[in-house]
Amino acid sequence: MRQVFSIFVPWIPTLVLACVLIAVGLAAIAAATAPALARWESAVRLAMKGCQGLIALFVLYDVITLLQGHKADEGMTHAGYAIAAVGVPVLLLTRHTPPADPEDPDAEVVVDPPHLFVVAVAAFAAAVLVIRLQQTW
Amino acid sequence: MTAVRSPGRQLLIAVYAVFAVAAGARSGVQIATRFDEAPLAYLLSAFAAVVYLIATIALRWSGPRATAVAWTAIGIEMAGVLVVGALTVFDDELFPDATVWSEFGAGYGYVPLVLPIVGLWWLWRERRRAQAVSTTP
Repeated sequence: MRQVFSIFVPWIPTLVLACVLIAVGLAAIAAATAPALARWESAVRLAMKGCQGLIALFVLYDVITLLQGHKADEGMTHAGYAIAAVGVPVLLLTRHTPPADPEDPDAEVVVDPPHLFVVAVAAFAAAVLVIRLQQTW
Repeated sequence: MTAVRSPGRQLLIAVYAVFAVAAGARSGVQIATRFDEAPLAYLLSAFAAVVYLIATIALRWSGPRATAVAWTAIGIEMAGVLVVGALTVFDDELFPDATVWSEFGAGYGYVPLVLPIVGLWWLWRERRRAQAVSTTP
């Protein structure tokens, strides 16, 4: 019983985080497709930023356990998932400012935030990566 | 060439970017740690990653050259997933280890099979839209 418990416990934060990410992804799709839910947009974007912070903490804890001597089943694969879990949402959700128009260098350059569908893809991808990170722990 | 950011294009770019990272990381780890076990499978996964990366970059831009590159990359991807998928279904011992395109992308929820179909459909739709705009008096 205690052995089953010790196997299950490390999965609790992982599953909670994955469920939150999936919920954020579904909310992003809902806000993007249903005009009545468009007011959710800012909350969804804020929630995704919060999730990125939680993922960073999750990976930091993972790194600490590795530094304390835990041996992951597949070290390189595990490291890859750790980097991807943090990096993929950043890669997808970071907008690079386009170069200024050479004909009008003083014109204000407006950078639109990524569409909510992209937020959803980032959330679903991060959920899969967090689960794979735990599976290879 | 200019960057275009319609929601459909953003979504397609996001999914292609996720697959470029997923296939690239997977093949990178496999080639670095156990290349001798299944060199053809791992090189094929690396090739798939390059195709996904080229498609991602080409879709980020508009213009005839970028569109031609996107058509070519997604066409190669479509052919790759169909050929490798069929080969692995009919002879599962052909590749000692799975590739991104094995069994039509079953290991990735068949997204590798659906993605080029959506990509080609989207490019075709964009071409028709551009032709309609250019013929409108």
